[in-house]
Amino acid sequence: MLWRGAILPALVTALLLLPLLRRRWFAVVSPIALGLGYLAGHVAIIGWPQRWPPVEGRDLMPYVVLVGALIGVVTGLAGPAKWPLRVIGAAVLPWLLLRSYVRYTWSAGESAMHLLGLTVVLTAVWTLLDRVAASQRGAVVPLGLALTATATAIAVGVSGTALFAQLAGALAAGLGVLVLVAWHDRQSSSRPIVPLAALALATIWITGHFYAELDAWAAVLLVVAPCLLGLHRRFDARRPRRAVLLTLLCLLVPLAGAVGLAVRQHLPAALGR
Amino acid sequence: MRHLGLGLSLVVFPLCLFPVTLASSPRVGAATYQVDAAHSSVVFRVKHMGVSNFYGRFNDISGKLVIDEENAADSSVDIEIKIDSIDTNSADRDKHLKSPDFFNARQFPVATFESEKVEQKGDVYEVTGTLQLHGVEKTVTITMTKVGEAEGQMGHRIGFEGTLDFKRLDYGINYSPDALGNDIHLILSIEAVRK
Repeated sequence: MLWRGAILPALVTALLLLPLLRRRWFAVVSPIALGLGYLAGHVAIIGWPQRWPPVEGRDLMPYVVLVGALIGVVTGLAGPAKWPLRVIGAAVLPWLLLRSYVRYTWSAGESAMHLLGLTVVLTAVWTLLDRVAASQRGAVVPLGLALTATATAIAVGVSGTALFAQLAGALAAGLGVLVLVAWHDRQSSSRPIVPLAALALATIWITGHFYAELDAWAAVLLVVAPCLLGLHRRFDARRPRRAVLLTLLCLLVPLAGAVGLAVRQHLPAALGR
Repeated sequence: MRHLGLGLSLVVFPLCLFPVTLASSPRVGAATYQVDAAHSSVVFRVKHMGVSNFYGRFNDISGKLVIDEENAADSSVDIEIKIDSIDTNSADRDKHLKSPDFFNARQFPVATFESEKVEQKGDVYEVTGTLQLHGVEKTVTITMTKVGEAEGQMGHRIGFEGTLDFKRLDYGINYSPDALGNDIHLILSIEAVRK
């Protein structure tokens, strides 16, 4: 399980990234490396999706990651394209994931409210992360995203879906490689990986809450956590290591809260057996 | 003349109704039965870790049988099983089976079987139809054996038992292939009461 869910995606990401370290195309290739590393883990865990068109979150994930990587490459090469792609991506993803709720469960008003709300939240998170990644080079952003993916894996795992815990773990493993690379090359930009990370994490959060048992407040805390990376600019830039540490501590609070809520809700039932 | 006209209308009018009456109810010999969930069972068997057979059940089944023992081709079977009613004697395991890892019960809340063809050989019925499970539809044949039929205080009842073997991978339920086998053996024991 560790090989498929963590070592393999990390290995594939590293093999694609390391030859391009400190090269001109590194920032553009990083989302491709992260995407292919995740896909290697996904295929090892659950195989390539059998159905077309995909109808479930687990079948959508590979395509979401590919689209996220492509958006990262395109917006890295052509900046003005980022807003239309961001809004379209943020609007289409919730609709794709929640079609069965729209068709069978919700009224027209409830559907509009949920889809619009999720679109706004996803656009906001994506935009905040993009701004932080634009202003902050180095390991802070990939580390924050890796910690968020790890906390997501734990929270959804105890909330009834071991599969999505593994998929979040595969994403965290690839992001972990990016942390090491960014630690080595402090001028590297994490901006191109933001679309992939935002869309992939959103897929797991939405599936975890609407189709598994992820507590609503735990999901909210997971969404809020990476946005706190923006607090980095509020700390003293003359003491960068302290600023990084404080930023990560701020991030860990909601992440710990999310994991704590999920564990409190689901683990006692298992322990009581 | 007036009496002749009245007499003719008394004969002709019911004859005009006859085709309408035929179209709105099963033909003579066919009877419609409603599935009695309290006395029906849907049990599945799957291999666990390659060492033992594990059994679980679905508790909520509904549907309709139309049985024409004179002409089986006019018979039909429509069954609906609520995935949320899965019961494996463990609340946590039931929760996991209902999650996106396996059945994804919130996205695919029911499994259905709708017959397209019924062939009879004595008390055995070969029922061919569409099985919808986990959002995937496939044509399958279930061999149903009539167990019994009786009239009593609880109405006129009929009972069938059938089995179906299929592969869960064919229906997109492919998580954890190391722990759970691919082959599923389904036992349907249906008791239905005539409407």
